[in-house]
Amino acid sequence: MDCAPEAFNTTIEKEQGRKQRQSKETTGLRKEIVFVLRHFLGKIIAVLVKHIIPLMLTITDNILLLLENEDGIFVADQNESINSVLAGAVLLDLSLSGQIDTDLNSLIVLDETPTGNVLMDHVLSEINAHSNSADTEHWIETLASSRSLPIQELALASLAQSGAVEQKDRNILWLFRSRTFQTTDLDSKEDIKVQIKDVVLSDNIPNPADAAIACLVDACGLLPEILSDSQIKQCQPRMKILRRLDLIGREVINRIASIERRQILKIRAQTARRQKANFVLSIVGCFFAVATLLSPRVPIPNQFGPTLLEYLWNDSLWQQWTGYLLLGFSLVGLLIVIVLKNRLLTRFGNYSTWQLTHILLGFVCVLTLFLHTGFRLGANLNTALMLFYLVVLIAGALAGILIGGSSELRKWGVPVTKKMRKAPVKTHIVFLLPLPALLVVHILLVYLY
Amino acid sequence: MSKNFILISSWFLATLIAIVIVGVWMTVGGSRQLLLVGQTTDAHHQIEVACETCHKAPIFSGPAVAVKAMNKACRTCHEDELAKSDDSHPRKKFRNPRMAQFWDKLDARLCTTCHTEHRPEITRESAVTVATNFCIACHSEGDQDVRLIRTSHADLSFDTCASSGCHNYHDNRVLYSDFLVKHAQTDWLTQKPVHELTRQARLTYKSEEERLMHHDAQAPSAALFNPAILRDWADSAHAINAINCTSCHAPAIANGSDSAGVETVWEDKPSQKICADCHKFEQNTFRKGRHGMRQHPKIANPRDIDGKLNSYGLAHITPSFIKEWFSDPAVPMYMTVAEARLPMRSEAADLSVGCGSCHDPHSVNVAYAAVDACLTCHDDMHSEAYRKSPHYTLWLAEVAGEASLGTGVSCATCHMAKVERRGNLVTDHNQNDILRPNEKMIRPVCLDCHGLKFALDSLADDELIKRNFRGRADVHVESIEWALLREREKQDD
Repeated sequence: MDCAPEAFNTTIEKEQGRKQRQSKETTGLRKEIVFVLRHFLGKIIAVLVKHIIPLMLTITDNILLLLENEDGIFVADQNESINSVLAGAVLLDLSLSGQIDTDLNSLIVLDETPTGNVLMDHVLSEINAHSNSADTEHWIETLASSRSLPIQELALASLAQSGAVEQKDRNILWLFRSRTFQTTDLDSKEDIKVQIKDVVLSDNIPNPADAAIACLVDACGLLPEILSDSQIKQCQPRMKILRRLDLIGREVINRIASIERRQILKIRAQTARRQKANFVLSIVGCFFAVATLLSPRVPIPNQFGPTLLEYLWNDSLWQQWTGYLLLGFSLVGLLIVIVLKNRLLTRFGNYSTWQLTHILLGFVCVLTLFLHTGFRLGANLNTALMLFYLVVLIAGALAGILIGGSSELRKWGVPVTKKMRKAPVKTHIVFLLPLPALLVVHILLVYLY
Repeated sequence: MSKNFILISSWFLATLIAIVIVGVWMTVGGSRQLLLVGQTTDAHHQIEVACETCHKAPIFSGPAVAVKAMNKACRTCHEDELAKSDDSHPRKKFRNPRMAQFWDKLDARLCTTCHTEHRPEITRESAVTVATNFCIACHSEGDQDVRLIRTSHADLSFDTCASSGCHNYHDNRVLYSDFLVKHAQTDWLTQKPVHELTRQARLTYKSEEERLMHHDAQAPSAALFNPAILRDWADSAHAINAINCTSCHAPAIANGSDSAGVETVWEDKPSQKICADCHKFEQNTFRKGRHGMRQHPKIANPRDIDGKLNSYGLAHITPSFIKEWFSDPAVPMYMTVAEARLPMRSEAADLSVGCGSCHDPHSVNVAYAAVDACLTCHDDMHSEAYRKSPHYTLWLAEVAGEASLGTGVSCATCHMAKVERRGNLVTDHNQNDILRPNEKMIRPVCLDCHGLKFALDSLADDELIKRNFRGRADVHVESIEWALLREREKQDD
């Protein structure tokens, strides 16, 4: 039976369309299978690689990993001490890789070939570009204070390059750009600690890199974080031997020790003082916040005429002043956390300073809240606002007590675990979430009705 | 998208939605009880869902406009009451520029200066929210200094002016000097202790010739088979005054506008409107008191959500549940006993207050309405003590026919006084009209039987009030002595 050419063409087109659809469906399925396989295979390969090929960490990487604090921040402060330690560490790395050599009076470049490590290559080119010969101390100071060569950032980039940490870039409130690093292998820090313990507590002859790391850790006062007090006392003779070993980095270590040890101790003492201040301030703040929740209101006097209490709790203008003041303090407190967490203004104060300021603001907020409310909890949505705000303040104060007073509490036989510290911080954040909506309603109610 | 981004976006969205919802409640419609910044006063809590009754200004008005509108709202409902009380501090007095010196101290041009809503902490008796010694604002300086112009007041402090039974800010109809002097020498009990208007009211029945009897009842045959109801009606004031069954159950038949059979237009339970057709004054006064204030004509209607949606062109696309959610709750017509703030009997919690709550519609037993109906619900000390009071003894004697008409004192005698209106004697159903300050009760009620001095002292003694006037007052108000002293001083001058 003959078919008309149009009908024949239509049949062909239909057949082609069917095949194309089939092909598309097959391609889509294949893509999904490939994606799933790649995803799982990728993970399996990553685990295998991790076990087969260990991380190749430099001395700088080791030191940086040890510097990571409880909040996952590697270098909390932009200070000379840490920079000097890092400068010394990178010179040691270069020295161990045979790129440079040091003697008492000079530091000379032996091999100009790039190592492939971003930090080491930068430092090498910096030294190479310097025409006059200078000693190790000069280079430590130069590298530590150089603005053109930000040693902390390069060290972190080097650490990321090694694969020990993962770099994460993000925008904060569409205004600030923030870069954070996250440890990919949580065991690496523990491994380093074990390695250092091994070096300082055993009588084996260490390799030069391990000895250098141990001495650098001692130089920047990190030993108490690795060893107990008794172990530190026990390892002192061994440390003396390690420092005296005629190893390649002795010069660097001695100089770092002489320049920085005093500063580091000073900073540690300062941090301890601030932690104590956090602790005390948090206890007082917590007491006032709980008192705000439980105390009966301070009555407005039944006396005609202007009195301070009348102004505070019965005068619209004063209420607005104290209210906006409270809002202002709270916003600054919040801004400090954003700054702190994202390391946006590290040049304007170190971590502990910002932390103390945050807690101080929390304390000021409790006092301003009293001026605004006089222990009144309000009604309906205002009560909700008040209760949420008080929980934020109380949880914040508890976090301050547990973080700032961890050493004090340990002395009193209350061990503060990481989980214990995180619980009030989480409560502090979760109860903060409804506050903006409640606050907007609170303000609208004042002005619209 | 990172986890943080999703979390922050979700939080931001939730916050925005919450603000928008509350914004819509505020500006378009929806219940706003969650937004109340403080408990509403006893005076207004029944109508608190109708915010626009007081907050009359548009939502984004400036404070001056809002305050002005709110004060206008106060006057809308309370102006008649103030006018009747011969207000001692009328607004017009303080609007005079010569009074400008006092505006900064206590702006008496505005009701809200002394009566601020939603401030339970500073709300005192009569919803006053300024300090008790507020008189000091104007009466402590210059020619207004009462300590100088009244020798009797020289050593007094200002915190007792309005609380000792001597003065009220608005209503001083029995507290001005001339009245005090005029009634200074009266005994505690008058020679003929009878409440005259009550006595007269009980005499104003029609003659036996005009009254209706059982066989006159016009009702469907099924209704006529209820002998108890028929008996109640035949003995009632309605039957005596020739009010037939159809007057309430089938008004169209009664007024002749419908010629169909009674069965077709018969209503088993007529609405309150039927009562109001004849008892207009009672209804008007009932709506001014706490019992019936939810029916007050000045209460704002719920906001028109449909109208607003129409104006935005959204009416046809808005789902009905959204409309329902964002619709203002209407003020219920009746208050239930459970909503009352005074102590009430728990078994009466579900009762509501309408005409039929106190007046059985067929027997229309005013004796029941005057005492038993009140005590069905009220459970405060004053109410509880009534049945042990001398007033109740007198009431029982009158009801039993052992004493003259008007000698008994029921709850209604004092709280729902008889008044003369256009030649008729009617009952004021605004039981709050002469309740606070309680000196308002003296002229229309107390003085019929008691002397002024006795009444002033009794009403100033809170404990005696709780005992429902069983015994004598332990408090003495010195107003009369001071008024007489001033009179003597004037004569000496």
